[in-house]
Amino acid sequence: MTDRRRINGPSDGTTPIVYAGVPKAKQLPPRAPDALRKIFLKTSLTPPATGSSFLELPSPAPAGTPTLKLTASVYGPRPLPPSAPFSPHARLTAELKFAPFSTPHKRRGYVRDAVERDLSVQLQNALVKSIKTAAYPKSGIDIFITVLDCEGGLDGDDDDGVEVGLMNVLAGAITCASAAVADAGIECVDLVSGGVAALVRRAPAGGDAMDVDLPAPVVVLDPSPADGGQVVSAAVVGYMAGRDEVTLLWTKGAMETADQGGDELDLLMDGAITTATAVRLVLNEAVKERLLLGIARSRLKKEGGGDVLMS
Amino acid sequence: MESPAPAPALSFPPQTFQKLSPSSYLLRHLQATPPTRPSGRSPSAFREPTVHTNSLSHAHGSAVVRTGDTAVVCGVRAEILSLKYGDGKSQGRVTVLRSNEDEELMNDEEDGGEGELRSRNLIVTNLELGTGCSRDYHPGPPSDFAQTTTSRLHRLILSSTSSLISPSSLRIIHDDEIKAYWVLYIDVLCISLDGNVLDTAWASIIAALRSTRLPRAFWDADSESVLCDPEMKLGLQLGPLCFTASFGVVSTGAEEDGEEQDGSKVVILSDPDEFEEGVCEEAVMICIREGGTIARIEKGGGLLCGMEGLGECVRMARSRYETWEKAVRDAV
Repeated sequence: MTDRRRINGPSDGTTPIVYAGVPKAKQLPPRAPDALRKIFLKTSLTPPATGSSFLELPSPAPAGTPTLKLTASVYGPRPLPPSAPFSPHARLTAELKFAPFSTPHKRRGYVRDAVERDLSVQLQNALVKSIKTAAYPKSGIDIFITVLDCEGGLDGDDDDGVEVGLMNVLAGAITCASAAVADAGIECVDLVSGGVAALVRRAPAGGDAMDVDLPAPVVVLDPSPADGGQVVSAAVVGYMAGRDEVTLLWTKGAMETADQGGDELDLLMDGAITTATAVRLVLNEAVKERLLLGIARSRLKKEGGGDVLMS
Repeated sequence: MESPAPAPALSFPPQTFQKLSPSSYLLRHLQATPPTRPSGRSPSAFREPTVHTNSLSHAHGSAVVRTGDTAVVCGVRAEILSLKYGDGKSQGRVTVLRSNEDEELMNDEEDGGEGELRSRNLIVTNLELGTGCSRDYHPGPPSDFAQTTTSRLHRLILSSTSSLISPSSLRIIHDDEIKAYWVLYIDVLCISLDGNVLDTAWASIIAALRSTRLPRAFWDADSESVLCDPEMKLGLQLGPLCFTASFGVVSTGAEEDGEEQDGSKVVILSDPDEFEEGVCEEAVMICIREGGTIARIEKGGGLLCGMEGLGECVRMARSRYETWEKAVRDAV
């Protein structure tokens, strides 16, 4: 179905590029399993919004390697339309959109798809517990996330393991949105940061991939889809470090709990929380920077700035 | 009896004044000496642009352009349109012709190229405002404003005077027959909107197209499909550059009650921001092509700006062209 309100391409459709041979992928520098990548997080880059933020992971990125780039903007609290039923709490809505050029291989359409809907709902669930919604009755708070660029790994899971691309997008979106909510000056009980961990089985050096005795998977913090290795299972959490509460948990892949003799779930949860706690430090810095700027600005305003006289 | 106490001077904080009476608020600023706009700019001042290119990893070309509080991201992505068997032969201009037909064909080629872009929809331009860039636009189907701005941008790209993209750089030819075309999807996302999105979006499109590198594509007869060489990247052949400059026009005498005042004069506001766009009814857009020729004028909404004013706009648009050209050249 064509979207008549946008300019569409040829009616027969177009095909993504097919390469003769495998394009040479830039090799990422090797990283220890518990080494985290650097994050760039800055608030107030969309001045018309009540609050906004921009996140980039990793930053700086090695040239030619994919990165995750997200912008978040928050509007509200603003009155709900008169047609909306009475609500004693603020109504939080989150909308996550991928830009058409954000994903590898194929261009995305503008029409919202199931993946975006799913991530939007997860994001909303992760954030709603951190906001004091009771402080804003009859109001709406809207969060918009735009994914400008992502690292890939969105193809879905197969026998070879699970993909962590969407989890990274969600974790980034949680952190970015929480910074934007704080930038908007909306009352929160805590900030939420997102963290991802995965159990990755790396191919033994020089060994045969079909080797019978595979190495045991190790917990990798902040895994990247471009890292390589077989991801056995992965988890993403939304974590409020100040209250030590997990607002969201999403896992993929097979794992065992303690009563089954395995400790994979615990390992993954601990790993994801460790990542989220580290991300929280970045979040704290970004919010602090914004706060100091706000204080400096309000001081400036008090000193100067008279009223305009209406003649 | 009430004593005739002097009425207290009615005063508001500036923000309240702005909300209550936007047009008087703007006019009071413009009536001041020297005339200043609410943003602190002088009427003829444009906002300084910053341009960055190729910051996205999956687009073939991309640019981030910011002017003041308006920021856009443009990504160019190419996909392949395969033609049906034999369909490309008529487009390939390979038929051997007798000499007198040659000239006719050459002419046909010159303006027929643009028709090729149009008839096959090889350029797909879209502007997305539903990104939370402003409180007025929401995700979902594009608003009327987004649709009109998209179609203005699309017209600019395809217009014969700008002839920005030559169809020959989009053809994939094998044995003198066009086997397929590149289709360029140009998507502009507005990240932050504070007026005059057209100029910024247009500059981002130019910068992104200039930074676009497509892999070399060839026809593979064995698989009967187009394959690409992962190692070799080619830039697009772009025609002469052109840049737009937008203006808002307002009269200092035009109060809301419509009374004509003495000494009213027409003020042309360069690069209007969101607030000024809301107040100014008359808008002028001038597109200047390399060399200073006018490629397009769009003007509407009022009669304040006559030929004199238009000449002034053209002069300012020419100097704006230089600014954009330098910013884009430095970035790519």
